[in-house]
Amino acid sequence: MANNGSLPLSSTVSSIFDQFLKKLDDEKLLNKSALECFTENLHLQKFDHETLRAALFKTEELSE
Amino acid sequence: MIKIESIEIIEFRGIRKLNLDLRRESFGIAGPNGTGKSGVVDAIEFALTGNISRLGGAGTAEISVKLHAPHVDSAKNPEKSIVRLTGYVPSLNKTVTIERSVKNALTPQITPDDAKTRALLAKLETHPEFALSRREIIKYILTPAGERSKDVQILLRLDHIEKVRMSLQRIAKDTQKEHARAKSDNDRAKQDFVLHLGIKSGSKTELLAAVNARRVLLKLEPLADLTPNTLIKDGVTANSDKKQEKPRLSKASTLADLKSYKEYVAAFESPELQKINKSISTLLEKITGDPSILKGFRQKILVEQGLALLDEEMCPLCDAPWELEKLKEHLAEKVKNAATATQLLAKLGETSAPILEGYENLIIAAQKITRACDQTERKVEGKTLADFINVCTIDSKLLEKLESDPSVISEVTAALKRFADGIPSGAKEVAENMRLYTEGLPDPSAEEAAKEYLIIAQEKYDRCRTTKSEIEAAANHEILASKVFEHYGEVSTKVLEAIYDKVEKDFTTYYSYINRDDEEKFEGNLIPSVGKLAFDVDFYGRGKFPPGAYHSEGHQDGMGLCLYLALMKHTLGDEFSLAVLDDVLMSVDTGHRREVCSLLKHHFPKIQFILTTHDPVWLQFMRTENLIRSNINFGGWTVESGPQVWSEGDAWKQIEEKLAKSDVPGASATLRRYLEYIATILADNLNAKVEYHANGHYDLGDLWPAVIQAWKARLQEAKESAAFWNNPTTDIETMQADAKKMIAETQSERWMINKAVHYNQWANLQPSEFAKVSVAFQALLKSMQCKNSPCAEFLSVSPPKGEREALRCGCGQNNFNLKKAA
Repeated sequence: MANNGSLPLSSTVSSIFDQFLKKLDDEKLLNKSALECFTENLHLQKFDHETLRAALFKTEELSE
Repeated sequence: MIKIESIEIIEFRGIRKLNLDLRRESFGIAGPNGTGKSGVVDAIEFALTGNISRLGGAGTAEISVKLHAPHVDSAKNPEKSIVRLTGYVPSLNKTVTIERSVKNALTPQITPDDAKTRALLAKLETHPEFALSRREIIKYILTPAGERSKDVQILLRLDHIEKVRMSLQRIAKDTQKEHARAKSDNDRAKQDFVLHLGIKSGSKTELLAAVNARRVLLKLEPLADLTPNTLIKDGVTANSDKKQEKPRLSKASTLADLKSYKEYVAAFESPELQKINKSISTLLEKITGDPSILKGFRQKILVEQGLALLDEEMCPLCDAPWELEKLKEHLAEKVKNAATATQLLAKLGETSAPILEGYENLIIAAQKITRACDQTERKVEGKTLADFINVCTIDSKLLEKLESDPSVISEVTAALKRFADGIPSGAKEVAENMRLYTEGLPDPSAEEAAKEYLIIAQEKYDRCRTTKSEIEAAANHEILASKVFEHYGEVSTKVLEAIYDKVEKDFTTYYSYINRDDEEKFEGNLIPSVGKLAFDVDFYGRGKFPPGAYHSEGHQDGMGLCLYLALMKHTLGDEFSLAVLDDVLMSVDTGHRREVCSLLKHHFPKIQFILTTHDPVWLQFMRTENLIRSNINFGGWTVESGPQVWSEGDAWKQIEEKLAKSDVPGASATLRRYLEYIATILADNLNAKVEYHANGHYDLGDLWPAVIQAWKARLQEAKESAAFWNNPTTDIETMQADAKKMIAETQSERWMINKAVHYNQWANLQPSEFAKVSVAFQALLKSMQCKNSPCAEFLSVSPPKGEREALRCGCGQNNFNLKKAA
């Protein structure tokens, strides 16, 4: 669910998201496009599981 | 972020027109309940955020800012309902003005209208928690751990963290289920393959031996190894009979499929699955038997779907106008309330898994039988079994859907009954007929059988490879989703623990400060766990308990305030500049109110507090402790005129104005109201002996005589003390003489003759007569105040309770000893 009209993220939430995304990047858990898509979803506050899932498995699903 | 300099409120809530000059300083608003104090709080929140929190939340479904923020007489003219707030922004070092009308609540006029001011406003809108009522504060203390976690996260603007956590958790669970399903598919495919090959162990050696025996028979090269790319049927030529359109039924393979089907039928009808089926039926009976659970169950699903549809300012169900954020909050609250339904749903999902697996195995095995039936040229009719497969497919989907759609409960109940009845005899007959038919088929030649064996083995091997590849993909998804969820948990827990640790320390410091007389060694613990935030507090060294267990309501109020302040300090840091507390400490006992004032003043010296109270004594404490520099008093309220308001000194001005218009009834009403207000404070200050009323209502007739008596008595005690210690008594004797004269001029003792009607008789006086009374009261009250104008406090007995030691003011200019012994 797109949620573009929502209030901006608080600094604590942004900090948690940034640390989380950095950890995903450091651990190389996601491929580049999945990580980009996942990052974009978090920043756009698209938090529903379908959207996040699609981002998480993005390249894998395309290549399958 | 902002400190309020002034606010103008027009046609808003219960207020017609009101200007308040707050001068960036802490400010008190006192007045009985129902006089419009909270209207000021609402106006501040509205000006800064465009919303009024207390018009949202539980129990306010039909109330909205748009319809109910304007004064009731301006309900149809929301453009006339305006709040204009001027504030100082420390971070920008400038003053800004924000003007909102209810009609255009979300598009305020801002001066200066620049990017920085807009950014500030956007930030303010994310922090409506600067305005809080007691109801909101106490929820941090008394709610269950799961709810507290959500409430605190909302206050800290951390609710997004929970949303992401829940989504990642769901993804992890889904991928786990998918992996299990893929494994099950693979197991089934392997079992099918082994069954076809007619081998026992399924080892590679045994497999190659079985396959090579057929290949040798067909004079084909034996396979040296079995790899993913091995072609089991390599070299086998296609059937030369071109007239045969359909593939010929394989006797061996069909018999193997029938054997497999028989095993799945047995599993489907096993006592274990029937027992599970019964427990699901019992759960459903519990749900359908309790209308509240069923309603919660249905509402949860409906509301979750509604939440997903929200993208404009109206209800997706009935198109009623709503404010988007408020509607979201409202629906989220509804989902939260369906906790019992949620638990039952989760249990249903967990319990029904083996039955769903039973359905899946049976359906796949039965489909092979119906396909075999199709190859018998209608000699075996498979329709009954095909119909049964369709029913099983629908029933299993219903059972799967139940977890997310309660509307299927009655259909699932019927499906469970069908499950309990077992497989219909007609369907069983199909398998039996097929078995008889297949067994009656002529055995193929050894070469044909070998060829068929290898072709079908290849199909089943390919299927095994496909399911193996699916299992690997599912396993990778599960591992990835699980790691992502785990990492998210680690990062968010680490950050949250650090936050809660700081909040816990600050909370303990604040609460110990206000209760240092009896709970100096107090300690509170915030214990976060996944989705929860437990909160235990020390109770006089006897252990840690939930705050509601032993602490009084007043202590709970104090804890609520301390936790709120600790959370706000963390959330906003240096930007925490304003807190509007609407009657939040009404249950805090008198003994701790001064400490609360002291806490706010000393621990939060840069914060502008705006505090409302219905208790004038509480307001006086705020003044005495120098927490607030100025205040306003709300008197009577009428729907036509709004609240009657005066600040210190204004009462006399209002009386003068009314007298100038010969409005004696109006002037006398104002005097009476003001004296009632001030008498409450003086009675407390002077240790007056007031007749106790259980209903807590004291009118002027109850208070004023006691105040006069107490004033005289304290002056007398001061004089006696001075004489006792051989100090000069001249000043106090002068005060006594003045008091006697001024009390006489107020004619208080004359009015006291008939307590029931005396003060109302002022209304019958001539303006000149009433003016004398008014001037006399003003003079008397002035004589009870410190002459030092920055102080100007009414003298009060110290300490407030216990043996009287002194009669003094806040600045110390007046300090009369009352003790006659060391």
